[in-house]
Amino acid sequence: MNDTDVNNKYDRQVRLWNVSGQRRLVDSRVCFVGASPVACETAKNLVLPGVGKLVFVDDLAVDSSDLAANFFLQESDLHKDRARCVSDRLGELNADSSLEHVNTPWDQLIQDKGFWKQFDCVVNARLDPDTDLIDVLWQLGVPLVHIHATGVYSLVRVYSLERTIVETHATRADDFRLDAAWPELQTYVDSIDSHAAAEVPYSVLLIKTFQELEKKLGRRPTTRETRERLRELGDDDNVLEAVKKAALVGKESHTLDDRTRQLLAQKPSLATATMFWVLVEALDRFYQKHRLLPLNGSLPDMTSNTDRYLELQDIYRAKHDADKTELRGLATQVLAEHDRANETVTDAEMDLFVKNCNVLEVQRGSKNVWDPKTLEDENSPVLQNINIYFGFLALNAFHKQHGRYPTPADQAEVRSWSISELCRHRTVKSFPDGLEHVLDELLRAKGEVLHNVCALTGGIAAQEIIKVLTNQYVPLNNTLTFDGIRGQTGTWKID
Amino acid sequence: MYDSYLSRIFGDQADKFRESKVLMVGAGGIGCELLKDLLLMNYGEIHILDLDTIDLSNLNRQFLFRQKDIKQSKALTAQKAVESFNHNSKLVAHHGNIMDTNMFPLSFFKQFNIIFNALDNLEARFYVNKIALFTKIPLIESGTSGLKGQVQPIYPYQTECFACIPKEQPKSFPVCTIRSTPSKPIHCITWAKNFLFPQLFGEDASEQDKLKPQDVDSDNKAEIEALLKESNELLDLKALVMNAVPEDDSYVYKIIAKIFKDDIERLLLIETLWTTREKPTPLEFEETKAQTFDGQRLWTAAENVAVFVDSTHKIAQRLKTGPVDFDKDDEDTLDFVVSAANLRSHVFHIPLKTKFEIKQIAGNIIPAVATTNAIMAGFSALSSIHAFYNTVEEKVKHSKMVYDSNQPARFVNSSGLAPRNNRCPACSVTRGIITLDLSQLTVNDIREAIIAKYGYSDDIGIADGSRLLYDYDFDDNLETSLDKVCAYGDVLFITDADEELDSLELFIDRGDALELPAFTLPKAVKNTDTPEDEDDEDDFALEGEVIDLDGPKRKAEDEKEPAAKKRKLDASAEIEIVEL
Repeated sequence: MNDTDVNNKYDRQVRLWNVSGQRRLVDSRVCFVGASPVACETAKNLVLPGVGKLVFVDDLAVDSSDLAANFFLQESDLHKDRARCVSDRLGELNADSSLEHVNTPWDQLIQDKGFWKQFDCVVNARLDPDTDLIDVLWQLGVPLVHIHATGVYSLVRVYSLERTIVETHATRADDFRLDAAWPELQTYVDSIDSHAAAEVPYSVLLIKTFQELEKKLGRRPTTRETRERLRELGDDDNVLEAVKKAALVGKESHTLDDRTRQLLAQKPSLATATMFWVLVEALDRFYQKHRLLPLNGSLPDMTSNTDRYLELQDIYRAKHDADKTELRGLATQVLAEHDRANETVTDAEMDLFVKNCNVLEVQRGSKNVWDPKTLEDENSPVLQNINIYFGFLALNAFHKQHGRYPTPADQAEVRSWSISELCRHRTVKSFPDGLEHVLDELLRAKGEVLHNVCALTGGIAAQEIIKVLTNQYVPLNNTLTFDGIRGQTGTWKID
Repeated sequence: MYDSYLSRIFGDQADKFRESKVLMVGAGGIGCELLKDLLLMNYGEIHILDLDTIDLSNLNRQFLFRQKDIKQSKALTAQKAVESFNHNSKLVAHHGNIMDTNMFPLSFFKQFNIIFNALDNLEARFYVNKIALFTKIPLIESGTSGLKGQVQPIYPYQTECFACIPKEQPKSFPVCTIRSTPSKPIHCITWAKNFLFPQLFGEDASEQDKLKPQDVDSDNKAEIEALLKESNELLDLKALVMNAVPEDDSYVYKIIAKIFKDDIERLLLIETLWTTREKPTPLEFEETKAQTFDGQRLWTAAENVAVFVDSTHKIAQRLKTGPVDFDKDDEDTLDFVVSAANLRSHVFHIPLKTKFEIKQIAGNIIPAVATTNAIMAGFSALSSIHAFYNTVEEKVKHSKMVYDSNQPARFVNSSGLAPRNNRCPACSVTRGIITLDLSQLTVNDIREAIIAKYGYSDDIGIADGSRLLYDYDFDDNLETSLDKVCAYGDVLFITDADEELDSLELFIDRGDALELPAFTLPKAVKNTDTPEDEDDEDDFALEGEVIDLDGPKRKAEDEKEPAAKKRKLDASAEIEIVEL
C-alpha cells in the first residue's frame, strides 16, 4: 500500500489522535499474557487500528469453553496450541500488524528482563494479577494492564509509573481574554466605535460589552446581565453568537483552575526531570510574572467580515507567538540553571505544550494489587464495582489453592476467605453491602466467560491501551470493573 | 455443547435466544461486531441487511472485511466471513436498501423478534423506527461518534422511540451565500461539492439543475441575472469536460479562468453586493504542471491550481467509462473539491483549509474506531436479553447505555428507558396496517371504509405522505384507482374534518382483500403548547465547554428546570451520535 492508501485506511481514527498518534501506534509492541477470549477481543481492537506488533504468551491448549466464547477459534483448533491459533487468526485482520507467539515456560520467561523490556505495554489477561510480573514491569517502567472476565463481571486495572500527558484532548472554553485585553487587542476593540457594527466577530462584542458593564457596575458582570445587554444590539448573526457564548464572561483569565495550580506547585528535581517538568517550571515562572498563562492563540469560526476576522486572528496569533517565545526563553533559563544547557526543546514539543498548557495532566500509578481502604467508605458510589474487584481477588485465592474456579458448592470456603481477608484489615467494620451477591454470581459462572462481556471489556481495555501507547487522552487511573447486571462500569484508584 | 455456558449464566433465557429470529440493519462498524456477538449468543436466525459496499477506510474497524473484499457487498461478505466460526445460527444476508418496500415489505419485518439498528444515517433510523412502531417489534438502536457511543432499546409505545426527541437537522445555507457572497470556508466547500462538481461532472446537469430565478432568494436583480448567466455558461464548460482528450489538459485553464476570474469580475460589477462586504479578487494564475500534494499541510494558491488541473483532467477521463460522483474516499473527486474550495476561498479572502480538514467537512466524516464499536455492539447484544423479560419494568431497567471515554469517573453509564413522549410526532399517533390490493380499489372505496370502521361523524382527509389525496375541498381523485396514487409501503395520514377524533396513520401493505386494523380512535388532543422559552436553552449552549467555570451556579439553575425539559436537553447532547 502507498502512503495515500495507508492514510485513507486509518483516516477515521487519525481524526481522533492525529498522524503523530498513529505513528506511535505503528511503532508500538504489545505483549498479551494469556490468550483468553477477553485477551483476543482486546487484541483485535489493537490490530485493527494498526499497532505494529503483538506477542501472545500462553502455554495452554484450546478447550471447549474457548470455542464457546472466543470468536477467533473454531472447532478444528480444539486441543491445539492456543497462543499459535489466536495469533495466526488475529494476524489475518491487518497486514500492517505482525503477530507472534511465545511458549517459553513461565518460570523462565518471567526472569528474562530483555524479553519484557521490548514492550510498550503488557496485558495480563489471566485471573492472577501476578505480583512477580507487576514487580518486573514496574522496575522496567513498562505499563501493565490487567484484564479479566468471568460471568457477567470484568475488570481492567492499569499499573503505570508517573505519566505526564500534554495532548489530553480536554474540551475547554474558547480563550478570548475578555477580562485581560492586552494593548494591541484593546486598540483593535477601541477602533470599532459602535457596538452594533455589523459583521464584527462576536468575541469583540463580548469584550466591549464586558468592559462597558464592568465600568457601569463597578464589578464583573454576570452572564445574564451580559446577555441582556447584548440582546439590545439586535438579532444579527454575530450578536446571536455572542448571546450564545455570553457565559464566557465568567471565565477569569487570571485565576488558575485547581488542577493547573496543583501541577505548578509540584517541584520535582529539575536536574534529572523530563522535559515536561522543565516546561512546567517555565510555565510557573511565566504565570508568576504575568498572572496569566500563555495564550492558546486559536480563534473559533465566527460570523464576521473577512478582513476583520483575519485582523483579529493576527492579533491573537501574534500574542500567542510572543508568549511562546517568552516561555521558550524561560525553559532555556531553567535548563541552564541545572547544567542542562545542551538540551533543547523542539518546536513541535513547544507548540503542543503551549496549546495545551491549561489542560495538562499528571498521573501517578501504584503497584499495589489491593488497598483495603477502598472498602472503608460504605457510601462510595462505586461500592458495587469495588466488591466485584474484591470478588475477583477471592476467586484468584481459591484458584491458586485448588487449581480450578470455584462453583456454588464452594460458597462457604470463598466466603470465609473473604471474611478473613477483610478482618485482617481492621478498618473494614462489616461485610460490605452487596458483596455476598457478587461472590455468588461469580461462583454461579464456574469460571465461564460470556462473549459479550469480553467484547465490551476488550473495547474498553483496548481504548485505554491506545491512550497509553499514544500518550494522548487521559487513561484510566487506575481500576475499573464492569457490572453486566447493572450495565455499568465504575472507576476508582487503588493506592 | 456451545450453549451450556449460556444456560449457566442466563438460565432458561438461553433457549429463547435459540428460538428467536433477529434482523441486523447495517453491517458496518457496529454491525460487524454485533454479528459476532449475536452469533455467540446463539440466536436461532440472524438476517444481515446492508446496501453498502466495502471501502478501504472501513478496514480500521470493520474486522470481517479484508483488502481483497473492497467494493464487495458488506452484507454478503460479512455472512461469508463468519461462516467458519458459526456454530449453529442460520444466517441470511440481504444486499439492499432497508427503505426499498419492494424488497422489504412490511411482511418481511413481521418475522423478527428483535430488530438491531447499526446504522449511520438519520433517514434510515427514522424509517426503521417507524417500522418498529407499525409492527410493535422491539428495536435496539445504537450509534457511536469517536470515543462516545450509546445504545437505546425501543419498546414501541412503551418507551421513548427514536423520534420522541427532536433531532438536529443538518445546517443549510442560503443560495446567495453559497453562490455569490461566501464568508466562511464551509460556504466554499459546499459550493465546490454541491454546485460546481455536479455542474461540471454530473450526468444530466442540463435542464433540471438549471438555476431558475425563483431559486435565488434575493431582491437584487443584478445578482440574479449574473448568477443565471454564470449558470448557463457552465454548460459550455461541461462540453469542454466531455470532449477532453487524455494528452491535452489545456481546457482546464479555460475552466479556471471562467470560474475564478470572469465570474468574479461579473460579481464585482454589482456594486450593491460589496457595500458592507470586502470585494473578492479575481484569481491571477499561471499554467503549471498538474500534480497533487501532501494532504496534511496547507497548499498555496498555485498548488491548488495544480491540483485542480490534475483532478479535473483525471475525472474528465474517467467520465468516458461511466459516471463519477463525489465520494470522500475517491482521491480525484476529493482533490477536485479541495482545490476548488480553496481557490474560491483565496478569491474571497477566506482562510484556506488542508485536504485533511476539507475531507472531514465535505464528507461529513465522523471519527470512528474499533474500540467504541466493540463496546456499543457488546451492549446492544446484552440489551437484547431485556427484550425477553416479561414485565415492562424489567425490560426498562438499566437498558440504556452511554459510553464516553473522556469521562474518567464513569466510562459507561446505564439508565432506565424513558417513557414515550406524548407529543412525539411518531409514537403518539394512532397507527395500524391496512392490507389491500391497490389495483382493485379507488380512493373513495377506502375513504368510505375508513369512515365506517372508525365512526367519523362526517368526512375525513387523506394524504399519502405529504401529498393530499382527498379532502372536503379536493375531490378530484375520488374515483381514481389507488395504484395510480399510492404504492405499497406508503403511509396514509387520515384526519378528521370535524377535528373530533385523533389523526391516524395507516401503513399500506399488500393483501387480497381490504382489511383495516381494529381499534377505537381516541379523541383529538387540542394543541395547547406554548412555544419554549429560548432564553433558558441558551444556558445550555455552552454545556461541556465551560462546565467548570460556574459549575455550582449552573447546577442550581438546572434544578429549577422541569424534569421533562431537562431530559430533552440532556438528550440533545447525544444527537450528534451517528455511527460512521
